[in-house]
Amino acid sequence: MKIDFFRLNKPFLVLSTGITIATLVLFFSRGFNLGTEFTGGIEVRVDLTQKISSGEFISRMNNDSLSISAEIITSSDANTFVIRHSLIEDNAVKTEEAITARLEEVFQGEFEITQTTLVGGTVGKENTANAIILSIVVVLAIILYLTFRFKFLYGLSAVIGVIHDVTVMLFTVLAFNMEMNVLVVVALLTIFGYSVNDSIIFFDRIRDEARHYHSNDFRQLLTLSLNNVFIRTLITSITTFVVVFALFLSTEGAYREFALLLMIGVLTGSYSSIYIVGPTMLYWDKRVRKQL
Amino acid sequence: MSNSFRGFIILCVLGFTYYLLHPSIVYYFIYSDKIRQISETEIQFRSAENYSVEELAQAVEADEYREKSIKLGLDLKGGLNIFLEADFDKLAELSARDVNEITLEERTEGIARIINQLNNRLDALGVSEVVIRKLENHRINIQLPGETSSKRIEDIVSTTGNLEFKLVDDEATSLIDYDPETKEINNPERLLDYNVSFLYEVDALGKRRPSTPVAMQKNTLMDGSVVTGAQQVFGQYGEPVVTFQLDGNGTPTFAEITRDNQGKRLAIVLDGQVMSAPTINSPILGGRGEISGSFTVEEAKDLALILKSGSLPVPIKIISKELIGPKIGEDLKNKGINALTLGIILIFIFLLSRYRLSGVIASTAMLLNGFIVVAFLSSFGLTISLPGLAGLLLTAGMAVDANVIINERIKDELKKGKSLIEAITIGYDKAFWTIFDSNTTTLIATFVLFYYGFGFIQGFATTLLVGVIVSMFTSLFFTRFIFNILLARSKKFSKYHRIII
Repeated sequence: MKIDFFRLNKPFLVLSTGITIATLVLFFSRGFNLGTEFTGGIEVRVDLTQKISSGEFISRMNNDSLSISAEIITSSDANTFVIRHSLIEDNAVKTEEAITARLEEVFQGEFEITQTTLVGGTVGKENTANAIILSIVVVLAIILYLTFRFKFLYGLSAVIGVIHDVTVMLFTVLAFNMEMNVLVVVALLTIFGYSVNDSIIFFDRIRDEARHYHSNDFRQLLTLSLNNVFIRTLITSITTFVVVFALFLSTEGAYREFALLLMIGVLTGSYSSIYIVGPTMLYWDKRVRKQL
Repeated sequence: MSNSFRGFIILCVLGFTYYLLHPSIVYYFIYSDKIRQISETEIQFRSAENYSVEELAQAVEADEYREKSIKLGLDLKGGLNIFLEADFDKLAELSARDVNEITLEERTEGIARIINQLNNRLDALGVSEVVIRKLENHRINIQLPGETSSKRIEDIVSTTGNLEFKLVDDEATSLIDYDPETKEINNPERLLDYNVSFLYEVDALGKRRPSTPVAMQKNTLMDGSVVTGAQQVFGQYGEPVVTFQLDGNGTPTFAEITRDNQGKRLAIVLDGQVMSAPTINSPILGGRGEISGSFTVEEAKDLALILKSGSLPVPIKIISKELIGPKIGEDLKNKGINALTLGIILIFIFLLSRYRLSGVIASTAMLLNGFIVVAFLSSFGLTISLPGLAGLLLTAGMAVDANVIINERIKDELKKGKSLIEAITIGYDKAFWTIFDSNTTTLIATFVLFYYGFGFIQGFATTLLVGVIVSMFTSLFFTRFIFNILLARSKKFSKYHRIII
């Protein structure tokens, strides 16, 4: 199998750049829809016996002191809403009491609370800090490991590929205005590992082939290696995709979005190994050679 | 390594896995739903009225198995997950100290004693399978699985339980200019020498609201440390009240207070709230008393519980909580299992179609992987939660990946003209380092997730961690074993080359 992958470098580079720019634009204009784990606040899942629209629900619940956001989770018989509100007077317990009291006032018992999540203010900030630290440490750890096993160039290229994947996933989050919650962070970190996985298979093969390869044409070497691992990468992507697709089909709400992100992540993970990591290595190699 | 030795190791692992899973299998598949339900209620609540002697006996047996079985996490079973933090600022306020004076030693000891107290309180409530953990930054996590009354538990857990007996100064009380509309006292300057608090009443909605203000003498005559026992009983008019008993020190103190202050009102204050302020009619020499305050039976019971177990050395507050209804939990559990099953079936189909017999081997390895991971997780006492299931799914994907790498390599070598034996040997050799490298990076990511993770991230990370390590065992070691067995009869099998891969 001899596919000259790198012929399509330019068009895909344009595509990737386009997505990156779009992500930045969305980030600075719209920003993330942060979940309660990061902002602090309350999230209550309520089952109503009567069916009303989310607009009506919000207008009936809101008063001078309360301004909730709510969305419907489709449910067969009752109407299920997820209410969100920030902390009142920075007091978690007060906030919950306020919401429950209001629900009682408006719906007088014709409701059932099935799930409550309360996050105090400091906890929210801590979670945000931890999430960011998490990401940075993983990136550094992976660069370190790859530099150790291969060369610094490889580690760097792999990480650039990963950053690309994360960007695409963030693009999805921003574009669909998904809630930026813990699950998203987990999805991002999982794809980190997955994408690097893919790149490693590639690197391993390059090292293997380089033993028997005596020409100076780096591009040829890379293309040859890519071709050899292509089938395996394709299959793994498909199997992992299929598994995550199963998760997507079987769940709803936040977990479904989680599955969607993983699906996209798996696809870009493979894409980046070919069209981000490869070209990066080629480019760097040219620069290094120029200096020599 | 000889293949027999391989086989031996595999047998040991399988045996060990079965041993770990055995209790779960028995508990979930042998015992009926009813028996399991009985087993899940605390012993003292299993009344002989509802169940036959037989059933109760069986439940006791089942108890043993349940202890060692896989437990469902909160998000699959439903329950309450509370995070509390010690409020040292409040402690400083109450004890009139500067918050920085509270030493680290004091703080750590405080937390330890709090955990002890909370254990007592929750035990007395009879909630089964409570988990109380100490976290860093002087925080505590309490997990209560199953259906619980969240409000009640929260109250019990966050009430400090500081009981104080103070004298009401009727003269000062009459001076208070209280506006019931604004709920404010208009002349606080005249009451600086006194402790002003409110009597509470229960309004139409069943909520406690401040009613009349009382001015009390600042010094506390007696506190809750001398209370040895407390119970909920029914008072004069059939209303729920709390009776308490005092110890060797409290009895004479109380006798003195009541003897010296007849006709005055004695305010019984809990955490700054005046529960009641009855008039002292005659000296109480027997070291016992009664607290009434428009309680419901439950409230009285809970108060008795708190008084009996003693007050918390440091006030605590709830900083975050999660309440998951069992319905949601059940729902998620089903969805999770569906996803897992669907995923596995799809992988099976794929593996079989591309790798034929080797595909069957790889699929078996994947299933084995699942069993071993679950067995190990349950032996650590970890619970299965939805993130755990997601982790398992991902592990399944990666385990398959390993076998794909191996099998593709084998196919490559076969194409180059090598014999089946050679192809398999080379395939495994070359694949090993690739699999090792890629799994290591996943492990790195997982370690970081585990260390810095909060909330359920750790559950996900743990499953992934164990899953990846075990998958290296099943994908490399186990499948190699099977291949070797097949190759031992290689003369026959070279002919069936086509079926193997």
